[in-house]
Amino acid sequence: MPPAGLRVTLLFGRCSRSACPPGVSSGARAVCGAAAEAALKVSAMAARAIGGNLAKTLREIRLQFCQTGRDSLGARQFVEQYYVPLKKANPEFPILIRECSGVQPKLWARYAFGKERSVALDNMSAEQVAKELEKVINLKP
Amino acid sequence: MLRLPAVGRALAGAAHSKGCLTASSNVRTSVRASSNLVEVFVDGKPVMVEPGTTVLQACEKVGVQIPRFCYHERLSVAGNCRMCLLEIERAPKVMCSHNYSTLDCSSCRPWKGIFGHPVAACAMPVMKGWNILTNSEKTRKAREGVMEFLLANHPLDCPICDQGGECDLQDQSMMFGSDRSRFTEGKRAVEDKNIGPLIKTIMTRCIQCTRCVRFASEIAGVEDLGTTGRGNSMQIGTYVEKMFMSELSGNVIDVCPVGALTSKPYAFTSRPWETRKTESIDVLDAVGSNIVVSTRGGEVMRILPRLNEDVNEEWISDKTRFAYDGLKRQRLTQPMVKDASGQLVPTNWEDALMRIAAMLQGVKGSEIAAIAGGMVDAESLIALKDMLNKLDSEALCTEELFPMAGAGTDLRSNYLLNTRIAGIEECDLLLLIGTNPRYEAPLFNARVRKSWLHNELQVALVGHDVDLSYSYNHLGDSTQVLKDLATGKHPYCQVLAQAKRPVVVVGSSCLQRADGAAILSAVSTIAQNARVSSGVEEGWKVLNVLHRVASQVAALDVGYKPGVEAIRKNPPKMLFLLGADAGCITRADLPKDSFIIYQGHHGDVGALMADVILPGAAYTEKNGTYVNTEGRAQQTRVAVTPPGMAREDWKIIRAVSETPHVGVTLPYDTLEEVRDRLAEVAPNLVRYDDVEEANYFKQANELSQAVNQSLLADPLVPPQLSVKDFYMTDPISRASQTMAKCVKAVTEGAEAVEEPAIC
Repeated sequence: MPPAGLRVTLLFGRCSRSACPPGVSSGARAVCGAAAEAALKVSAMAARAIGGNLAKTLREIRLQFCQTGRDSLGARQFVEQYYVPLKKANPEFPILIRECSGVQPKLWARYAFGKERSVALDNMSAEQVAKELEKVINLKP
Repeated sequence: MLRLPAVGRALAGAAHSKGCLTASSNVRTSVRASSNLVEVFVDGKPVMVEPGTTVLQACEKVGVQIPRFCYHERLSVAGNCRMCLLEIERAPKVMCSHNYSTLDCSSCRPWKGIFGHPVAACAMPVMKGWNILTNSEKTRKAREGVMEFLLANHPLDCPICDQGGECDLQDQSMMFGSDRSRFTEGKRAVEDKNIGPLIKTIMTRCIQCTRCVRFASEIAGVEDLGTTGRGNSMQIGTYVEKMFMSELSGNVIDVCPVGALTSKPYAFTSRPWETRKTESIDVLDAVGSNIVVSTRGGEVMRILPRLNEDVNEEWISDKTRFAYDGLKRQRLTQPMVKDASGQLVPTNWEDALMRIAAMLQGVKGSEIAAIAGGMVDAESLIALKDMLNKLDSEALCTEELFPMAGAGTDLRSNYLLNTRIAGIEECDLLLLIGTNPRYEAPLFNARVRKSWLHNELQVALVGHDVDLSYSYNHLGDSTQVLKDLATGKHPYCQVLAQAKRPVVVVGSSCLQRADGAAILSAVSTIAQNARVSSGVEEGWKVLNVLHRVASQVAALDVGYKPGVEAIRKNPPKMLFLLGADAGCITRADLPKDSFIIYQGHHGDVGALMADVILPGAAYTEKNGTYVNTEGRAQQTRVAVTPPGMAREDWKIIRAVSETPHVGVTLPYDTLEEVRDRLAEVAPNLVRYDDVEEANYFKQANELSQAVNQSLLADPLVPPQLSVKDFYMTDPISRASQTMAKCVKAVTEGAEAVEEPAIC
């Protein structure tokens, strides 16, 4: 759990105890919390970047990737590790995860007035995908 | 039809399970070791078949079609028409399965008598070493004899018979019959029966193949049809005159090899050689049945099923088959604009578009909203979404609600029938929640029944006690049952825990309730628990949603918000209704001066409240993408042109987008370009005929845990309870006279429906 906790903090900049799945012992939570505290200092910038702010510039995120392809491995891991906390922080925001065999993994971001931007995610790791997401959030359309 | 006990079925072997030879069939049959195969010969050509294979199936395996009337691939074997008689010959020097020459073996000797005599190929299992003669002198003579007897009592009314041109009897008598008749006696005549407004009976033409009887009792699951009398006075009928009451009744028309059962609405309207056939998709429910649209001179003459083993096999529901007359009534053929006195007056396209443009002036993006109805294609959905997004509006809703708490529509697995329709044949326990699949998705229900009949599928239902055409374990209709199942307190949880391949199906209708999110959360937990206890492999999907309308999955795929709550909360100044006829939003929900645009093909609920009407195309008139409840993208094709000034829907939206004041010209001009755009939004939408797998149940369940909504006490009652609720559910079927007759016939009796004298 600690690594997941760390990742969560990277995205949200708060000790996301609520993001720990139920069933994690209080000890583990403490570790998670501690790791989060440490990470908070390291990546305060990155944390502030996403958080619950998806809706600030963005209207919709679409994530497309293959269910089995190696190119899409990072995108799949991103969904496994980041999606739940990301959604919890942005419950109203559409993060459309559209799996389709053989497609190039891509992140689509839609801004106001229908402006769209896409980033290819071939062979990226989950962390890199998160970075890309952070980038599209900060970009002006 | 009773379920055969497991042992009996194993003994009956392949003779009874029709799916043995057809590789595409999904009926699970025990796989025998390949060493058990027996070698037989068809006209001297060797072929290896499983023991228990019938002679007819063996012939089919080498590509020889045997003439038949009573035998039907998907029905049990009757063996009563005798048309498939064949001569069997012993192949020389072949050792039988007991390692003797087939002539000397004491076990095989009883079969010796068969050689040289005609046998009914459909009912006779093959024995090792047989040589099947499909075109010998004796075989041909036997067929000719059977044909002569069949024709002895068959009327010579082919010129006025609706089956003419597609009649098995006609075709086979040309192929295998004699060129003259020796019959001089009077022909038998049988009284016609009124079995409802859909099926016309001319019982004199019946050759007593009993296909319709077997279809009714095995596939449809209604014991309405049967035989009375024997020999020459044998008759098919309903015993006492009553309506053949099944949502799949129209299929007996296809199953009937002669013209005894034909379509009443189609009677005397066209001949098969006059019509143009267009392969298309049905959109009147969310199953996406494959159909053939027969047209003549720009008019839809009839709709027939098209084979798709994964979706509808070879059946379609009565609504799919008979609602086509609704395509010719209540149609919007001209753009209309409300004049100063509040009357809708016909106008031209330019006027209507300019009116919209003028009204848009000064309206902010956030003051525009759209609702998509149940029969909209993915192309128009994306065009409308792109247009509104470009105007900076996010209020794009569907009429059907889906709980957005938790993962909502982010994950496709959340709102799809993940197990797939054919997957039902592999499951051993099915839990239905808040649905009546018999009328919400008749072909899905037929698949459940098939699996119940052949695979010992156990079915349980939480919801209103309805007749599903098979027996099931009714767990009650209160939400408390759901809660108990989720927490493991319900006694049925023990049964659920023992299932090897469980499937949970929740009806989309119960997700419309105020506590929809809580229901979905409970269902998700039940499914997750069942998955864990079954220890089934990772690829097996447990959680399923059964939708009721054809456009819903595509709309959610491209990112529409399910339900009109957003519009209620934030009433728009301008509302775009894209085929929205469910009446979710009325004038009363909107500010007084709001402007409503309706685009669609029928003057139904939505058009009544509109300020501007844009006539669109119905599903037979456009190339459209529809995604069925499994997530399978399929396309309709243009069979006829839209009536009057109506146009394809995405083109209308494209035209609206480039008018002044709208001024957000959409970047596509051709269908291909729209589909490229669809691929950008959700690539699965253009993978035609494929189901793209959707995963991440764990994540969805995790998010659904956080839903803090409590279940209401109201019982789970689906909106369609009995067959009378089935026929008229959408603008097309509401405009159909045939469907109206059906409702009348099921409520007041078949005799209440007046028929023209010609029938």
